[in-house]
Amino acid sequence: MFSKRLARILCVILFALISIVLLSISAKHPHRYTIVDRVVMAGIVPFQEGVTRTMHFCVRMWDQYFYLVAVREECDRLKGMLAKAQMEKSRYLESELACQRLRKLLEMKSEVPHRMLPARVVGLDPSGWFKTVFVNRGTRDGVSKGMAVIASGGIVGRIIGASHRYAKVLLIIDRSSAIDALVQRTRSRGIVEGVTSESCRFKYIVRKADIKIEDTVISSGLDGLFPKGLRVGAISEISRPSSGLFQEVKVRPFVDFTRLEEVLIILE
Amino acid sequence: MMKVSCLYLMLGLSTIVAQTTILRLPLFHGIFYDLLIPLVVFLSLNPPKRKGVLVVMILGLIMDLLSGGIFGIYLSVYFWIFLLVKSLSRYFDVGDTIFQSVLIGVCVLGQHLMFCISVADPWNGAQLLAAQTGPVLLQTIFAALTGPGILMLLGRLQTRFQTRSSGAQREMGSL
Repeated sequence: MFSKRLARILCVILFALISIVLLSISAKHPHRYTIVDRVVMAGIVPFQEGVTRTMHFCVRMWDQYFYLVAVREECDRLKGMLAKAQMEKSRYLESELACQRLRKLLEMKSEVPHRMLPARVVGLDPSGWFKTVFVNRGTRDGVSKGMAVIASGGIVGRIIGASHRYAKVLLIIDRSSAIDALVQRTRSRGIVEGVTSESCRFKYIVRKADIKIEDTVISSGLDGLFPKGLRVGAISEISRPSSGLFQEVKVRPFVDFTRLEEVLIILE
Repeated sequence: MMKVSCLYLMLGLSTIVAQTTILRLPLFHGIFYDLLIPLVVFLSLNPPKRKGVLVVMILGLIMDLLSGGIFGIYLSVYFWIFLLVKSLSRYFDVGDTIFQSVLIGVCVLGQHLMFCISVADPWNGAQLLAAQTGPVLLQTIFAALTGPGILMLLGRLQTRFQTRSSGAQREMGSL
């Protein structure tokens, strides 16, 4: 019994001494890099690295996901705001342009001493061969066949048919349209007929008549349709054939028929 | 058959509205031809043929009312296209894409020719024709390219509509 007990005590003391000796040796050489260290390091560290990288990746993903969600939300919100702002800008621009057009129409209205009705162009002719438009004013507004239609630039055409709410306007560029007109500068009279979208023909201008390019052509008022003095267009081409009584004259209308939106109907 | 006629009438009216508003905007540079022509060709080639004539006449009448041209020109053009296509269908394979392409191109060109004749006079005619040559050629080519596709779409629309209508009739019968 005693010897066993003594043996245990001796073992404990021995272990303690070994520990102290080993620690002492280790303390003497603090950074010794043994082969065991290398083996352990080679075996364990790659796994550590893998786990650490995975962990960092997960952490980064997690962080960035939440971050991106927040950024995405912010981005969507900003995009929405931008779209709204652009739409508002477009609306303001449209209002400004409409305002400019209407101001010109108003100026025109004050210049012409007749009762006039504003109208909006709502439809065009289905074919490119015929030049008519539809406006949103009809017999209920007092519109009737034969009334003159003008825009800020000058004469647009005349009403050739009207329903209760709408009316059809024959443009001056249609080949079946004719206006009794005169050259503002020299008072030479003729008839303006439609030819193409860009030009009209000024007929019956006698050879001796003094006319020049860019002379303004106005309505004479003698046709009973258009009041006197309304602007029709400017002379764009003059040719004097070797034979015949008249000059061949082309007139460029002042109104841009491709951008016609608002017009005025002369009710009287 | 009445329902099919109504369908084409509605389709025609929608086309008329589109081509007197959106499709005439300067944005499209006059590339769009009269889109009722493929519809007229289709009605000429497919049932309901007799009611098809009626639909064609109504659409032509509406176009005449909207147009600033000589009254009856659209009516005549559509009617003659209807008859011409019907006659040609006896001698040619109307299902052939190339034939359809040429046919619609020729119809569009023919329509423009009719318009040209209707507005032409010794002085104005030449100038107007010169101004219209570009758009006419462009529209004819565009019609030849897109026409067979439109005919195919109309064919599918008719098949689907008839299938649905017959299904509904069967359901009504079983009830």
